Amino acid sequence: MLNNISIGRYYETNSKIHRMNPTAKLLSIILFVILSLIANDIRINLTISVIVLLVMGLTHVPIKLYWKTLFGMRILLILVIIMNLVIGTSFQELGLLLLRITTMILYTSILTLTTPPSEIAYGIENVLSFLKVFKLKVSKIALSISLALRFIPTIIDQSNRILKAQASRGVDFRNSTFKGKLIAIKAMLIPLFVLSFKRAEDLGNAMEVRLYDINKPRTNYRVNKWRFFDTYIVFMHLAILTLVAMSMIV
Amino acid sequence: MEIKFENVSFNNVVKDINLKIEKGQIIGIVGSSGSGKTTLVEMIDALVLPTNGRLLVGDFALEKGKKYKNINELRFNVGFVFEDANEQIFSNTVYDEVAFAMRYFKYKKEQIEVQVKKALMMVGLPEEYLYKNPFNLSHGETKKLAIACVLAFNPEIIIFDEPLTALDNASKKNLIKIIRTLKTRYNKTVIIVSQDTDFLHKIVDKVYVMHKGNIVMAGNKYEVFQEEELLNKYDVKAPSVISFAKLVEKKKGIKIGYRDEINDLIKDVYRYVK
Repeated sequence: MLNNISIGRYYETNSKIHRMNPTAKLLSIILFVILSLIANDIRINLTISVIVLLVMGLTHVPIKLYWKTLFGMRILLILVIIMNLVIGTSFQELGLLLLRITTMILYTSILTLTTPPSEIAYGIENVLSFLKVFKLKVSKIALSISLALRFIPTIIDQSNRILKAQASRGVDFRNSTFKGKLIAIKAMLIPLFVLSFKRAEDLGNAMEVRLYDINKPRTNYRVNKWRFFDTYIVFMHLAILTLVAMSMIV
Repeated sequence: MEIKFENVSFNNVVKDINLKIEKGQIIGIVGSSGSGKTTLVEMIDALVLPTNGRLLVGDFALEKGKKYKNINELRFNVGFVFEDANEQIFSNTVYDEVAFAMRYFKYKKEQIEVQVKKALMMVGLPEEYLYKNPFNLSHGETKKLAIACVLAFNPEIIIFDEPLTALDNASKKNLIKIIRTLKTRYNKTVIIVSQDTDFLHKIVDKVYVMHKGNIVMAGNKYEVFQEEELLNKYDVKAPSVISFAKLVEKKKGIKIGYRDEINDLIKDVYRYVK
């Protein structure tokens, strides 16, 4: 059941986008999300989707994985369609809305597919570093995000194994009625919670024996250099955003 | 109950397996990690379905992509003890945990109580444990509990996936005793997946060696475990009882026969020295 989730999975190849600085990637994504929120014109949105396709081509990630991400979001898309049909929006507006949502999903999946979770956390730490002015511990936030991201695949694997264990005892998720499915989910969630707490405790101990201290300044063993390409990409996003914003105002 | 694999494959993990397991045998499956042992036995319990070929468990045929409404008829006959016992525990008491499966296999209430007590006694958990919280048990006790869960609903085929992890020495001996009674008294089919050939050599009748998804060696345990060089090639250690006998034969030219238990071997050696 849970095998086909590809949200948050990293795909390893060597591409220009993979080599980019995670901070630059995050900044671009933020700019892009703002862009697709304000852009409300079919011509502009089509241009944006062409740009998205171009960047997707640059990543060298198989198109199948993007399709899988979209497919995983199908319930959201269907809900959007139903809601809008109920409200009674025109088909043109609905199409535009769907186009905006799909481009947003695809663009953010570029980030997760080309950046390992630890790098995303590093990017988040950098992007949020302006909060230091308010005396917030940004490294704490980044640490919890990176730990949470790191555990997604592990927990998926584990829940698969638990589902199998319960299936062998007569509550199969796949081949059962609605009531049976509810029991199967309950029988999966309890061990999953208990084991996650245990795992968190183990992780805490493992970090402590390696003298981890949240209050000490930390270094990063990956040297994420800021290259010209990063500046270029962020600048391009900024430029497109300003252009679109100007055209919307005018 | 007979198990029959007919050209069964699963993705690239298990490749084109033909195999027949008869009733009332103890089968050992060995192989290096990642050789597809666990996937092979998971198919018997329909936890994964074959992507190619057909698998017959009794009269139940398992094929690719089908939905089985009556899957519990198969699962009632197949018990599976998983490697990590912690992954299946979710009840508040040991009693509920053991009885959990039986409720889905249509046991009557009075029967359940008798069976639960019997199963706990067999694995060597005292009766005071019945109303304990299973989350407070030690790792080894949890493993015993998982074995009890399977024994309680009395399946025809019992599969053990790496049964020795977390068990202490006394429990290991007890497990060997349990498996032997399952065969001799109840005539069950037992399938054991393990890396520990010393353990397997003590109890199994037949051995299958797996390597990269294929069954590369099969047969009587004495036949298979004798081929020390071939086993080494597949990253499997020959049982020490046999390698000792082979070493003696090679160095001194004395034949001392292959024994199941180390104690019998010691007696043989002692007799010879005397």
